[in-house]
Amino acid sequence: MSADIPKFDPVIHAPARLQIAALLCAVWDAEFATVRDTVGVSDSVLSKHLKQMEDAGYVRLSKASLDGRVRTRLSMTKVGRRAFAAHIKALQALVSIAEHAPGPASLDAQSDLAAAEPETVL
Amino acid sequence: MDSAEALRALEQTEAMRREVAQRTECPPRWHIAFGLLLATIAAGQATPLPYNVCIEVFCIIAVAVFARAQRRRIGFFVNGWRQGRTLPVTFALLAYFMLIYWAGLWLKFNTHIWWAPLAAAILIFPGAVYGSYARQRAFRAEMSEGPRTMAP
Repeated sequence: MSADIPKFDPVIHAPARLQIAALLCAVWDAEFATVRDTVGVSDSVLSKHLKQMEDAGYVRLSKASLDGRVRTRLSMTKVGRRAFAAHIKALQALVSIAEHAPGPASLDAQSDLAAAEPETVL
Repeated sequence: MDSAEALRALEQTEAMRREVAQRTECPPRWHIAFGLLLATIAAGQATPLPYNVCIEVFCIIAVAVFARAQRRRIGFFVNGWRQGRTLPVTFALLAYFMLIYWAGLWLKFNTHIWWAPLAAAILIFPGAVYGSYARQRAFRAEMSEGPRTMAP
């Protein structure tokens, strides 16, 4: 049974990174300032999260000039998009188990999912 | 993580996508400008060399200007070729454009109706404006639905 259960992604698991991934997966690319303001974090916190996502190969950072200023553009890589989709599936599976099939079998499955939960890196 | 936390995480994701959906609402002039751009590509073929090439180059530059303007306005760019609900709309728009564009060219070169590309442009304009609206509607609908139907 555990083999069918999607796994949580340790990189996307943190709430702020989940929001960053949700935003970047919806668009082609986004500016650093837009992501910062939308997620509601400071420059340094966003940079820290982006570093982890970049190290995992989920996010690509590029510099581009706009209105005479160099701005950082962020985009989700294919690997990142797949990881985000898998993480969402895992979340949905957990919610679905709790919503639709309450009983001993679902409790087992919920335990399997909980066991698959990674250590959250903040 | 329990199911309540998972649900909260999903709700946060959905809220983020709704935020993106709200920001991507373009004023009508953007759709009209897009329609004019595609119509200009077709109309340019009514002119002789090298003017038609110049018009095509101008239109390619205009696409880059559009993307830049969108980034400046909302801080991100949504590609029409992204996976998801917008892709069929983009393909339908491309098919509509190519069909009329090539028909205009064929008539110009085979029946020597020099103004055929201009007629094609007149036909392309309303379709392109409608297609632009339809693509925006499809994107906003997809974002508003939340990540349950999300394309990777």
